[in-house]
Amino acid sequence: MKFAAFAAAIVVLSAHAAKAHVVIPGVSGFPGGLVHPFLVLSHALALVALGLLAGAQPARLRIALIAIFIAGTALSFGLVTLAYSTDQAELVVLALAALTGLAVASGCNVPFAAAAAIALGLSGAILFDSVPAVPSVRATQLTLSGTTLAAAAMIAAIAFISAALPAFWQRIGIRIAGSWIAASAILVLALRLAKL
Amino acid sequence: MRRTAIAVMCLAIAAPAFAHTGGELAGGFAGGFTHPLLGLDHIAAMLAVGLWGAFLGMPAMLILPVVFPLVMALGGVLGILGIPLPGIEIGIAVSAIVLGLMVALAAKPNLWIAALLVGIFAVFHGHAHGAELPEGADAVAYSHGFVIATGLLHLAGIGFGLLAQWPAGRIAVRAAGSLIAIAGLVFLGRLI
Repeated sequence: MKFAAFAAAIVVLSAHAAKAHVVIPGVSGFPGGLVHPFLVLSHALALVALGLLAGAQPARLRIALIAIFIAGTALSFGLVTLAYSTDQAELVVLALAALTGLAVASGCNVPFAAAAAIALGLSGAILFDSVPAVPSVRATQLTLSGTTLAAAAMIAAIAFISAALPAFWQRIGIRIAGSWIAASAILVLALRLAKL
Repeated sequence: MRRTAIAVMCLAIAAPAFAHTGGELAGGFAGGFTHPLLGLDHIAAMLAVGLWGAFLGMPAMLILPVVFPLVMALGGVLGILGIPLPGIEIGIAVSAIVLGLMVALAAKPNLWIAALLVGIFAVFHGHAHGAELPEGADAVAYSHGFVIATGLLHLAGIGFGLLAQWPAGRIAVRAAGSLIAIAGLVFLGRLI
């Protein structure tokens, strides 16, 4: 009973205006969650950047980074189920997209611990920003399951494709892509913060 | 069961969603993508960055297209925050003149000087873009559209600039630089 009262207090204190993305009206649940990371550009930018960052890691660490991302989404999934929420998740997504894009653009060897922290933070931010605005636990769980699957698949695909690219494209194409991602994310982040 | 009920309550009291629709996304991207392509002054300067990068060879060919969007974003932040920067349009016109001249004269300064020069001009271009960034939900698509369009103009410049490997191509690239510098003078003349 005490736990229920405590949880109810958290619910009230942490309930904010839902900023869910209804990308395709009428498409919800698992299919809606699957397409969500691809069609919400701020998420797609961040995931592509993380994929490129993972692609620069050795093969074993690349797999570990993807596993950390999935673990982070599982943890966030649990928190959402426990009714935790935030209305600032998109800002975190954009900030991490900018940071990751800058890291990719710089071409520096990012320590695995830093990459893991980014992956963990991004997994939570993306999941919290993907909670659908429907009063149904089952619909929420289905949507977030789809989002987790699609996001992890996107990171894995980009990581392994970028790692397999010829050295010339790894030197030029990936760094240019990182700079584009960082530039877009910085601009939108500034716009969002200016309106707060 | 209680947790489920609490979760349902939480979701039920959430305010209506600020939805993104596919149409807004497409419209935002198209608007952003066409923005740099509709301004001849922007096009001239972006092509010149690519041409100069290709002319300078590696690593400038890589560094300049990476530096430009990042510094442009910082200029964009100034524009979004409403921090005034004097002579924006003049700066953009001068960027076409200076960068065009660098290509026309086949100038090969140190990499850091080239990056600094390109970075300074990127601030003016970014400020102009940032001040016009829409406030709506499609800002991400818009900004990504114009960053990609800017980057593609650089790549087009690099592609043309790679002709400089051959003697005839070198003449063509330097002629293109001259044309860009002349266009910049025309843009500047209209402003004065």
